[in-house]
Formats: sequence, C-alpha cells, structure tokens
Amino acid sequence: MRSQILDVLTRKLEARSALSLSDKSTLLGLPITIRRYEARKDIILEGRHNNQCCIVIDGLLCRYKVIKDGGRQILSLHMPGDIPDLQSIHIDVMDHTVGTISAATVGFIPHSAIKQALQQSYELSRAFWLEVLIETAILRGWTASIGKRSAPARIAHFLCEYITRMRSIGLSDGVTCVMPLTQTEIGDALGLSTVHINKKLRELRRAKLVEIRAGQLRVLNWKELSDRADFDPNYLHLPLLKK
Amino acid sequence: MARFYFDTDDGTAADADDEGVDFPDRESAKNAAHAILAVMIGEKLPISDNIGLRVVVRDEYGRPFYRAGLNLEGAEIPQA
Repeated sequence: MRSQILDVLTRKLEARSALSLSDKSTLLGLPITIRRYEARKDIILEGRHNNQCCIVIDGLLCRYKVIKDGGRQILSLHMPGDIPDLQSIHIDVMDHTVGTISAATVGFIPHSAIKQALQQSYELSRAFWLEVLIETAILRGWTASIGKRSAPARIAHFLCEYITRMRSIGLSDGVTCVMPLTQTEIGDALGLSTVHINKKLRELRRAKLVEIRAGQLRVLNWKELSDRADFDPNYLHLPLLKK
Repeated sequence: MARFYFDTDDGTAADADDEGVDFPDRESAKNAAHAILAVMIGEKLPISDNIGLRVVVRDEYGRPFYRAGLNLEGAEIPQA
C-alpha cells in the first residue's frame, strides 16, 4: 500500500532522471503519512513553519496568496506526483498557502527523511532539484502569460497547459480530462474576473475549440486552441512529449 | 448567492449570456458589470479610437434590471 503511494513520485522523477534500483528503493521506503482532504481546504498556511513535505497522491492542489483588498491569486497548480512545498526543506517559513482545489489525497514525508535520502544519492538530489527548477520554469510561463497575453489567449494557454500536464502523467488522453476548477478559480489563477472568464469560455465553446461541462474539460480543436494561445510546451520540460 | 446574467455588446459582436455567474447581491453584480466594461475596452485598444460598449444585467429570472455603457471617442485636432 505504502509503496503504491510513493510509486506516483518514483514514476514522475524517473521520467526525467536516471534512478538506480537503490534510489528507487530509497524513495519507496520513505516514511509517509496519508491524509484525505475535502475540496477547497487549506493544507499548509502562509507564515507557518513546516517539518514535512506534502506530495499529491490524487486530486488537484494549488499554491495561493491573498492580496489585501485584491482577493486571491492562485500561483500554481499541482497534480499527482507533485511536491508543492519542496522548498520548505530549506526555507523555514511558508511565504504562501497550499490548499486543495478538488478533494485530494496527500502524503506527508518528514524533511529529515528526505534530507537523508538526498545525502545518500547524487542522482536523487539532482532529481529533486530538477523538480524545483521545472516548477520555477512553469512559474515563469505564468508570469509571462499574465503580464503579456490578451485575456482570450491567456485562457486558451492555461487550458493547453493544464491538459498537457495531465496527459504527461497519464491522467488525460489529450482530448478530455477532469477540470475541477470553477470559473472563479480559473480567474484567480489568471488575474481575470469571473464574468470575464465566463464570457471568454463561452466564446471558446461557441467557436468549437474547447468546452468545460460537469467538471470535464474537452478539447474540440487542439490546433486552433493552441494557435490562439501561442502554446509552446517547451517550458514544461516534459520528457514524454519531446518530438 | 443569486445567479446574474451579463449581456454585452462591443459594437461589433453581441454576447447573450446563457450561463450566468453567482453574486451575493445586485450591488456586486452591478460592480461586476462596470468591471467587465473596463476589461472589454482594454481588449478593443489600441485598434480603435471610437468604441461604444454596452452591458445589460439580468437577474436570476432573466429580467433586466441594470444597464451601463462606456464610450471612447477619439478625434484628431485640426491644425491651423
């Protein structure tokens, strides 16, 4: 049971890094505590000290900050295999909050156990470092999008990225996948109002590019959607999608 | 919370809202109507110096109760 849970992490790291059998057995042997969260619950609060890392087993998590008089900004989305608070190993106090979007199963691994594993193996250490680097690459993608893309292109880009990431971890066939975010949450991620998201999603649906219905995202015309978004997945550094 | 519908017209395309968005009250829905006009005008810039935007807000029964407009009128000043 425990090894099945950590398998989601092992597979993710292995997709980008050459891990030895001993590295894999170290990963699968990490002590982990499993907790189930309902949708829209905080897991780790800004300002708190942390002595463990959380790993997404299933469901969707996000990092966010609340801006005074400005509402909430969602900073990133985290899917199964992600460790949204990996930086807490070295940074003592959380500078943002981690919470659930959908109901989620989350595993907690003590920092001490991760530090010990990373000390034992250069490859493991490299694999974890790479995770952080790619996460910051995605963050750069979001910054560029929020700063410079028009609202319709920004929304199209967000949807392209979401389904591409879901596909890379085997949770989508590239056409459909679960989409638990509400229009308000998509707005919080993109710096747009709910009414605006509502209008632009309707435009995309009427143009037969994409539709979101009953918690499902369905791409109807990838070519046109990714063209409008000017989507180039290079910043996701996905080994499985390399041409 | 109640459902409100925002029908917009930017002079070239009209969008009839068939889904709506939830707001706590009419006042918040009116504020959202002003905000969407501000966003729409941003989307039209800088391609036009003559823009007329309209929004009509309907309540949960589909009855219109508020309308707002935003105009941008630009013109060159004739040189003597």
